[in-house]
Amino acid sequence: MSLSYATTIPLAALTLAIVALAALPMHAQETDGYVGDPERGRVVYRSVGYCGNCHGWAGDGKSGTTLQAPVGPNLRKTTLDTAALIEVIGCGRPATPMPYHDRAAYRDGRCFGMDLEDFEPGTAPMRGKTFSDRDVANVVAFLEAYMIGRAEPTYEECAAFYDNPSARACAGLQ
Amino acid sequence: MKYHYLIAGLIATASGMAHAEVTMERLLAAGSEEEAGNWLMIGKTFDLNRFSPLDQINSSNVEGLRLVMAAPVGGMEPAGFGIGAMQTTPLVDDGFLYLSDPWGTPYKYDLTSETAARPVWICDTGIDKDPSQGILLANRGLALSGNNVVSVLPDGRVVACDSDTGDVVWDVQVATEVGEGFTNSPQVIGDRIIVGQSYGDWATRGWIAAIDANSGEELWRFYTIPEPGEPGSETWLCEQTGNPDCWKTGGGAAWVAGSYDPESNLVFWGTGNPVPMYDPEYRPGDNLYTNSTVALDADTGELAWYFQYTPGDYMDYDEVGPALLVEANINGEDRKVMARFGRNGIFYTLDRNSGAYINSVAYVGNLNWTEGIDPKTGLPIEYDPEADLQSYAIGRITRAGDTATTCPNIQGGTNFFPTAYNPELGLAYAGGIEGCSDLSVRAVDPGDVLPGNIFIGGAGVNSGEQTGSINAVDVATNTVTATLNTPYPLYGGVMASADLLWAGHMDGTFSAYNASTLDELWSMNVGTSFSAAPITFLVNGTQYVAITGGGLGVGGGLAPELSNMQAANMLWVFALDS
Repeated sequence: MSLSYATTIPLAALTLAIVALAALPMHAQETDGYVGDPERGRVVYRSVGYCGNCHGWAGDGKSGTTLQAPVGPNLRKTTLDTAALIEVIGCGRPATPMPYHDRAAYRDGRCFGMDLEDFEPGTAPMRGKTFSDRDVANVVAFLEAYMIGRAEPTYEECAAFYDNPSARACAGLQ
Repeated sequence: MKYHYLIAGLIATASGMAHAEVTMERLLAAGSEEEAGNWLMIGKTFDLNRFSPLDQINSSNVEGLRLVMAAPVGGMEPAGFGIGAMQTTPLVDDGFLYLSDPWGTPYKYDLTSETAARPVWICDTGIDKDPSQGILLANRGLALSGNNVVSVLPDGRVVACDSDTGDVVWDVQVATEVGEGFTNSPQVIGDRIIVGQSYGDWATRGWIAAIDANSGEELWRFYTIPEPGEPGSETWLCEQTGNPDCWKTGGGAAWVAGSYDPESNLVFWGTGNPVPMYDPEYRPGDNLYTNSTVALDADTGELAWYFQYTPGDYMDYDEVGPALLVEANINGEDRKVMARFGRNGIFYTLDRNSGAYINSVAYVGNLNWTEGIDPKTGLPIEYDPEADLQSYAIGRITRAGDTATTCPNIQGGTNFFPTAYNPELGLAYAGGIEGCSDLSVRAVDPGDVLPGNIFIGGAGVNSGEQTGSINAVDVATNTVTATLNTPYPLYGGVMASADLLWAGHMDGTFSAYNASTLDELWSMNVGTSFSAAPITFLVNGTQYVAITGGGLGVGGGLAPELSNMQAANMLWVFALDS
């Protein structure tokens, strides 16, 4: 793939910042944009984007993946920084099964300056569930707070992920 | 007998409630004239022939068929793999219809008005519709036993509901290990109910068990994967791998209910693939009794014989599909035959008393995984009994990176799909998939294998476009006599009645065909995807045809162009325009 996932998306980041500035009072947060909520991000990862179908509930590409979906990379071991995570979630990864989630991806140039028709047949990224800009940030906050750098998944993590200590998905870890 | 049921029918009509108990005597007579208006078991009869002699609807008038009743069904709550598939074959007794939703919840509908399918009760099993469980959600039907309606549930329980009131009569946790559960249907044989653990691909060990029909107490259990020291265990070379326990997660699930021969008292169940399906290096050996038909004594669970279709499989060719019991004159000899459409694309006939191979013929258009079947053994000609890892005609797939393309698709050929046999024409029928899959291995460390999590050890993805077909096979002559090619995979069952064959299609079309030529005679698109099999029955003397529809389920991955079809679980009932 010629496109580097490390390429940042200034327009997307700018949009995030503008939305954040317009919508939020500058209260206790120190950053200049919306600060993602990892708890909301967990819900988006789990039951809006169904990210676990490929990455597993634990993000390890193993735990709780589905039969039909391809196995996704181990997010616990990712080296992507915040900007790169935002880009990959928003724009997907062309030529891989990672779908895009930004509602305007490949329509207004925010993703690598490209439109869907710019891709060779069969290489255009796939459409995933649509996330708001804030939910992209929320998912990134969730990944950074609960997944990236974590060791093997535990029962406690699983129960917290599903908000359910008796979730059947966690039974094998007890 | 006839008088008895006439009285029962009159009482039932008068009260609107009570009707004759479903005794073993009635089940044994399910193919008789007295029971012709009912559909008491998912296969109609113990031989799973799914053949009805009713002929009010036939090739001369089926073009006048119309939709006359419909009813929504629940169970739309998703599990981890999404909304479950409607794969239930309804049952009908005396104008009342019973069906299950994808969570195994039983429903009863009253069709006696002939104008509406009115819900009588929904049996509340108390199922926890936990969306976290990463399972394929399906339920393939109910069983009638005495005055009970019996269902098997994805959480491993077997539940009996009162057929008059829908109240739970008993409720037993039969599957107790993490990851175990049921997606199939129970098989009632007298005072026994045979059930099969269905979640083999979730790193469990398959088994078939009998429970008492009055209490749910377990009577016997046959493990489809023997433990070390038992016959067949020598086909699991786990020690070689450094993981001596590889058999414990070896799969071989029994996820479709079997047929039964009262004469020999044998049940014929199919077993699923070895697990992990794409990584034979995890579980070297032939992996008995995966991908097999096992014939078990219904009273004891003792193994009478087995036939393994694809030993040491790495193409996901489960052989759970129905074993049709038929009688055929083959080479001048009257034989009691077990006839099966294999998921591996080959139609087989075996002697049902001994398991001896008789014949086979490829029924899919494109089959490349084997060059053919050994006419003596019935095994693929590439099979090497000395090899730890088999290498079929497509070559091996390996952890070192070797890949292969297998035809038919990993999902078949046919699959769990109900098949049918028309004894008057001597034809067996199945719908299925026409296409291929690309296979690759992805090794998993034994320490990472958790029961309850899907465990496939690689990938099997569509290789190009997948279409479908319906095939008719003359059992006596071992020849494919008619093929209907369909634009989408046929991902459900068929049913034979008089001179017709019936099938529901993935795109929402329900069709009737000429039973000999498979020429389409009637069809209607109702918009719900079909993965179940139809039935036909009488209400107040008039013939009806019913089928359930719902979401695309796992079959949807075979037809991406249908992906915008939404799920709506429905019962559809058709009759001639009067």
